[in-house]
Amino acid sequence: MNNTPPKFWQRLLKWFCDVELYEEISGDLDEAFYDRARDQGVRYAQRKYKRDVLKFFKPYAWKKLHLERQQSPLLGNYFKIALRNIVKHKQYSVLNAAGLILGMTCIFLSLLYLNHELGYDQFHSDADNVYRVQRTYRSQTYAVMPFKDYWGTAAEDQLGYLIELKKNPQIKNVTQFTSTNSPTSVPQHYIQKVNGERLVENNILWTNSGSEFFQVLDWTFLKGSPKSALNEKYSIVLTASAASKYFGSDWADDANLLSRYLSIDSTNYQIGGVIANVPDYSHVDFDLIVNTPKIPSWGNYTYLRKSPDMSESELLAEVNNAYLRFRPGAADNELEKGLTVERLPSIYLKSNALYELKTPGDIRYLWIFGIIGVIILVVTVTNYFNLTTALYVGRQKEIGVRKVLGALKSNTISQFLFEALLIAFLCLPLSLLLLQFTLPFFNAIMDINLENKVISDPNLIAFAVLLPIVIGLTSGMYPSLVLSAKKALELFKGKLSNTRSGFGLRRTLVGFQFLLLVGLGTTTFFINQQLKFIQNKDLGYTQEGVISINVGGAQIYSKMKNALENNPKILQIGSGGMPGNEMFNTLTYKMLNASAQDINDNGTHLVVDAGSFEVLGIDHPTLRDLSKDKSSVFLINETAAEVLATSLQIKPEQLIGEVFQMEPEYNNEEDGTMGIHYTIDGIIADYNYFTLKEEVNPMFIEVQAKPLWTYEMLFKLSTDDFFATIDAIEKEYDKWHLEEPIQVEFLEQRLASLYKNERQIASLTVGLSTLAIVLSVLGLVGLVSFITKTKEREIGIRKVFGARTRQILLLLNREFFILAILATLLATPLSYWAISNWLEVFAYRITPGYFVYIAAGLLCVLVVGTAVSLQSYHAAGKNPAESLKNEQ
Amino acid sequence: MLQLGNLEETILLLVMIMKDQSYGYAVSKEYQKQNGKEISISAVHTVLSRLEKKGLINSEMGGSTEERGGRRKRIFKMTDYGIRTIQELKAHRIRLWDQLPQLG
Repeated sequence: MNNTPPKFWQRLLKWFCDVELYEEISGDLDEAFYDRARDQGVRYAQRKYKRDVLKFFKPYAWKKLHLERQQSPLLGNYFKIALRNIVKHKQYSVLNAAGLILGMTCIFLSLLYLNHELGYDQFHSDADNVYRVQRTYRSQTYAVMPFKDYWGTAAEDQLGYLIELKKNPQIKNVTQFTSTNSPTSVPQHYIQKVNGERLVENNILWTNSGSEFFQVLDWTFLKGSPKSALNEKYSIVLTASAASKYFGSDWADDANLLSRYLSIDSTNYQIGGVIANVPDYSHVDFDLIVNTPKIPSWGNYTYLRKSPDMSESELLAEVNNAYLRFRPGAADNELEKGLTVERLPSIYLKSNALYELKTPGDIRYLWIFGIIGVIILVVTVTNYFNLTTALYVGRQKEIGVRKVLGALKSNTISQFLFEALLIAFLCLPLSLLLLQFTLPFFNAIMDINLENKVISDPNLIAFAVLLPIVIGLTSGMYPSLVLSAKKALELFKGKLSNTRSGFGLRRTLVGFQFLLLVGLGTTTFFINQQLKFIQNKDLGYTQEGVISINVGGAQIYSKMKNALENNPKILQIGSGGMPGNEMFNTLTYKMLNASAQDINDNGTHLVVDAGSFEVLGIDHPTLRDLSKDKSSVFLINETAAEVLATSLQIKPEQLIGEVFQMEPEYNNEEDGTMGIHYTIDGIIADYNYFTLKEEVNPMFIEVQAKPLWTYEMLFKLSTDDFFATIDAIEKEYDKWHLEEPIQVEFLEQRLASLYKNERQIASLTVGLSTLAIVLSVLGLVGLVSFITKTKEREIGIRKVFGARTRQILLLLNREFFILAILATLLATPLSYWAISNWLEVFAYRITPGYFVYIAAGLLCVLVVGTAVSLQSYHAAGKNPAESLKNEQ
Repeated sequence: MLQLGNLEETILLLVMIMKDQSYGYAVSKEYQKQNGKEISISAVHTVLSRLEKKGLINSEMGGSTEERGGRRKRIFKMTDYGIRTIQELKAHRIRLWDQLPQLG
């Protein structure tokens, strides 16, 4: 047994005892210990010692805050030293700050975006109890519920399903509406202002459920009351911007506004109220809500508010029961697959039914955003970490002196943490400023309207304060712990960079930066490749100079065709079949001779005239027959031929002349046949009628010599005087259409808009990744040049011993080379996984090639190699005497 | 007059007796010697600091010894106020004693 006071108890005393009292107390205890050890034996002395330590554990001896005596002059000193260091290492400080500012700004941006996307439709007061009813028919889920007899439903019958739903008292409110934004409704209407001016309005919501609408979806009323706003049979509620548009910007001062009328399509509607503009984060968008007895569509969007006591499964059952009461035949109809419900707040992100009111958000994009945000944060912190650790190596003497003068371990730790926090907080306002400047650009790219909530929303403010704290603490932690653990003498003597742990960690970090570089670089590269691929893919038809306009029926079509045919700038004219659509509803079909099991439900039926194919440059020999005697030709595409031939176990060519049955469930009451029969005339090559996100599906194309009905007129125009020709078409159009104005669509534009979402996300990913890469490269170059700089003496000594410049370069580069290879090996599967996931959206996609990863790895080595070589070449070129003389 | 507890009074007297040798552990040893009772070092420390706070004694850090691991002692000395107080206390006690009827 050793005859010293017990170590643990000594340490315990030091831990809880106040600094001011520690010396005398521990001194007394030690003295007592040795006295007792001498007189009564070590064992007794030790027992006594322990008891004494315990007895000192009372408020008198506890640690106290000595803020006024120690900390504050030190804080001032820390501040001064921190500023001096920032100024001394200008280059690194700027690099650090730039990284921090950019990094934080990106994180704020991602956060704002996530906040926006996740907050959809939450503002409705009872959002969690509001549901949309959806219908599954064939294999597709529709956001739209059809009226009893579709377009031909009488006004009072349109409410049929709602009446059935309301029979259950648990379903509190129901409403139905359609919107000009829906492909199932009339896209635009005409509003006559008080002064007689006629304006086109294309953002109207039509309902026939009156003020109950506001019981389901509530909005902020500026004028009028939600209880009565839509009580009149023909009434209307305007948003603030629509009110300014139709009643002038001083509408709020108009005391009689609520007794005024607005004329839509020649019907007068009484103004029932004005509400605030619809926020960006609502999936239902409109400028006017019109209450009318008959909704102008074949179907509607049905929303309901249930009682909080009703469970979702009860609701689901009730919704289906009501549907069977409303449409008794549905139970026996094989095509009816039942109704589903979707909670209001999850419609935007989770639902992806046919005819959504707003293109749904993609949850994967949110992931991409979150991940990029985190990556940038990590790059920022690693950069900062790397550079500061490197800089701290040069500050060992400072810490040594501080320790000699009595700085405690905790003082050193707090000094470095203070410095890191100081820098992070200095960067915060700059980052917020940058955010303010970048937000408009971000909004423009993403086509949204984010507000800078970081300075208004309490949660986000808290985050904005927390972020620099987290960054400061994580980046300051390591250097402070390493330097504070050293004894003063070691600090004067040794080099920190030689210690195993410091170097190992730094090496890991450099490797990690490599990994990010290779991963992000390659992912970005592939995203770019895919977008180029889509733009350049041969779609199977001509895009250049193709436009379409709306046309009011087959008669007007042929009159306009006759008039425009002779215009030399108009090369071809056709009706129907403009490609570049989002997928729409599909039909069931089979060969007449095939069995019922062979009914497929993924077909698209297209009716065009021969001119339409001429416009698009699609040709088939059977089309010549049209000019002779045939009035129509029935073609199927290769995909359809494949499916149909398999069902009859024949070759695709043998299908020609066979009878094809569309909608085999449909019973033609006039002649008793099932489905619609066509004789197949030919097979044409696949072409992408829908977006490239969808694979080509079976298509059945009826090419008519003269269209029986049409609503779409196609033109192929010469590129000379392109817009003059469009003017000529518009003039002709106006002769025949009094009500509806012309809508011109350019095929190339339409195709581009199909990939708007993908393009937005891709440009953003590319932008942010480039930023992350630049940050990463800057950090790496800074770090590498610093490390090399600290090795100047080593280089000098090697030279003295006869090493050649080439050998020195090789030696210094070797380490980074190994790191780059390792990082590339690790990054490859990660990046491959990420990019394959993204590519899955596209039916037509590139295959990521492995050589790109090798190239990226090599590029990394090249960049870092250049940085190392330049720095060390400089050192190696120096006279060794110079660098050796240069005492570190 | 300032009120002093019994222990406080005893320790104050000990500090006075021990002159410039009075520090925590020494006081506790002296206490045991004079009173025959043991007292913990921490109790002595607490009382000393209380007395110092009352202004009866003051202290400075004094010499260190090998036994103490090179750590200094806090040496306590009477202040003028302390001496005055102890004199008043003594006078007060004597006054009381004097008023006592003759014992036995």
